[in-house]
Amino acid sequence: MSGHTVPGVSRAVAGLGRTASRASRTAAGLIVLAVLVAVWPHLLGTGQLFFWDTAIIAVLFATSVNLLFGTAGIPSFGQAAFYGVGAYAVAKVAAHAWPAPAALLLGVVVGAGVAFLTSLITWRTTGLAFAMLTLAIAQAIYTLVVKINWLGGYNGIPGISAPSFLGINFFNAANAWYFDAFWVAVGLAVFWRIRRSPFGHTLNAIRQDPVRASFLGVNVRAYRALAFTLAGCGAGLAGGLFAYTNQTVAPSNLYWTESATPIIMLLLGGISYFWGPAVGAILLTALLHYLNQVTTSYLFYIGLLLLAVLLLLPEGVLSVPTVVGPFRRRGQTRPAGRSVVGLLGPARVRPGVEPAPLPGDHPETADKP
Amino acid sequence: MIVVATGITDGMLIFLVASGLTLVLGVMRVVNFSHGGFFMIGAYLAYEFLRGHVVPIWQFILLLIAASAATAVVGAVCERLLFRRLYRLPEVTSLLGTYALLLILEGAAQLVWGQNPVTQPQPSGLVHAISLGNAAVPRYDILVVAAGVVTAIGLQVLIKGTDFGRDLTAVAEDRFMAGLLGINVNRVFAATFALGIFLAGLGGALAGPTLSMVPDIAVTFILQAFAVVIVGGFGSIAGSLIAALALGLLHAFLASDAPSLADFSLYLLMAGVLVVRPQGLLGSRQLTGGLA
Repeated sequence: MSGHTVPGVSRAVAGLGRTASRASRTAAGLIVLAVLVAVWPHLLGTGQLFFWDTAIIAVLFATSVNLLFGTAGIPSFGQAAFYGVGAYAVAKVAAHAWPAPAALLLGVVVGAGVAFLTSLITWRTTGLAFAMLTLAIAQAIYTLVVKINWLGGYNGIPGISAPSFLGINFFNAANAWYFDAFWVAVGLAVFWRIRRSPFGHTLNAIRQDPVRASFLGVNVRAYRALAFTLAGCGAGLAGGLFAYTNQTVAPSNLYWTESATPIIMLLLGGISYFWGPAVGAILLTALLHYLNQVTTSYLFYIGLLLLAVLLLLPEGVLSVPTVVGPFRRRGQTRPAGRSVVGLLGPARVRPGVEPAPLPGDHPETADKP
Repeated sequence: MIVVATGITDGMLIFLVASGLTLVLGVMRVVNFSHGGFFMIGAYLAYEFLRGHVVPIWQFILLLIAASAATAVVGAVCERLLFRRLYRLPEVTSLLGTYALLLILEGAAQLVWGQNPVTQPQPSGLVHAISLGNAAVPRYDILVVAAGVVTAIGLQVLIKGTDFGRDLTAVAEDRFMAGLLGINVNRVFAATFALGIFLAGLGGALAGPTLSMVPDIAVTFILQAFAVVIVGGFGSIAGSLIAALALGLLHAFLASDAPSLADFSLYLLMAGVLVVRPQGLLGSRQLTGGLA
């Protein structure tokens, strides 16, 4: 029996190597990203920079929504309301020349507050009823915003001045880009941390099987409400940045179809990946930008694309390596993947870990012919 | 009086759309966002058949049926190509699939008919108003109410009194068991969906002369129908009739007495009902309650 290594030890050593290489790869990726952000304004014209401003704001918004869909399994169709109230809050105080961090903080607080109230109203509902109710509440907020003259009615609030802070000139496109990139990075870091925290893992457990999670003593409704409020924070911050960047907010930013946009983004990129919504947001923003130039109806093509992704690539664009991989390297099994918005489906498991038994075996889904 | 008449007419129109939606939801467990798209397609097809001509009422009724049937055909094709793949997926995925279809339908309408509003003339016999008591009621409203009543009665007869209705109820209760008992679940789904889309098309064709048609009506009208489905109780046709009439009347009363509140009638109604009965007026807890 000499010459045999103990399997457990070798696996542990390999595991150590993997963690180390993963950490260094993450660090390398972050450095590349930081350098890209720094040189970006020097590579692009002002118009293109504005496009990228909106793209990274969409990245933040979609990532916040993915805390609900991808991590906690909460199908909300009303996130545009929290994005919108955050934008309106910043638009109102920007007129009084609030310093930018204070204004954005207000946007976060307002977004979170409205989201928290919504989570109280929807406390007892789940699934489809929850989705419909969030849509209705968001739409009620939209109607309210239209009615309030103080918020400019249908016209909204135009002419929002650029952020003011430390006397920096944020009318300069490059400075505005750094401003947006900084706050988006802060937001993404927070959501990254949440996903990896015990809280995030508990949300994961709730998504996989809410009943079992509640048996384990988790207060499922409270956790869901907290996740919903945190997603509202992210939406509020993204909305506030949008107000500064776009310099106009209008009720149409709260309309229910706007709630669907981040969901399309995270589907496009891949719901089970942290960077899925980010990739999807950039893809969709770019697509809308260019489709608008060549066709009168981008909706048609977006719909076709969404359908194609749902049916053909249900784990999003980022899953392409795992889908293609087994064809290239034979003998390797494909890690069990999670279907898009597989809110009732199994979680994505790392290779080498036994997949959990199919959770949430609903009578309704199990019975499907 | 005029307020009541307006309320009932609006309510009936919403009911026509909501009944198809709740039927599909109750039987197939799919929240069909694209329902609004089919509503819009129905309106545009009726417009396309008529092309601005004013026709007598019996021709107009034939036109309504033709437009609804054509919409139902489009719906049946979509069911075969798309929805059949969605049944297996989790509910929220199928929700997004139907949203994608809504985008496609609205986009297709934008490509075919453009963004500019078009108008559909009323049939020649129904242009003016008649006096009911001391109020002048547009004659066209009577046609709308009649269509709503016929639909409500027809659906009750179909569901309670026919073999198809029995199969449909069985599939709605437990599709797996119904399949084991020899009911062709796929065929029931296809028929239910075609019926639901027929109703959406009928609603659109009827609503055509009362609004200026833009592709956007696909996303605006569906919200009221959704609210009615929630308030009435998921899958309950009688519930959606009551809720639709309540919504129409509430909106009409508020519009005449407290105009600033009228736009909120939808949410007032929802809040009022859902606080007392979270499952809706006539809904069961099956689809809404529980943790999972």
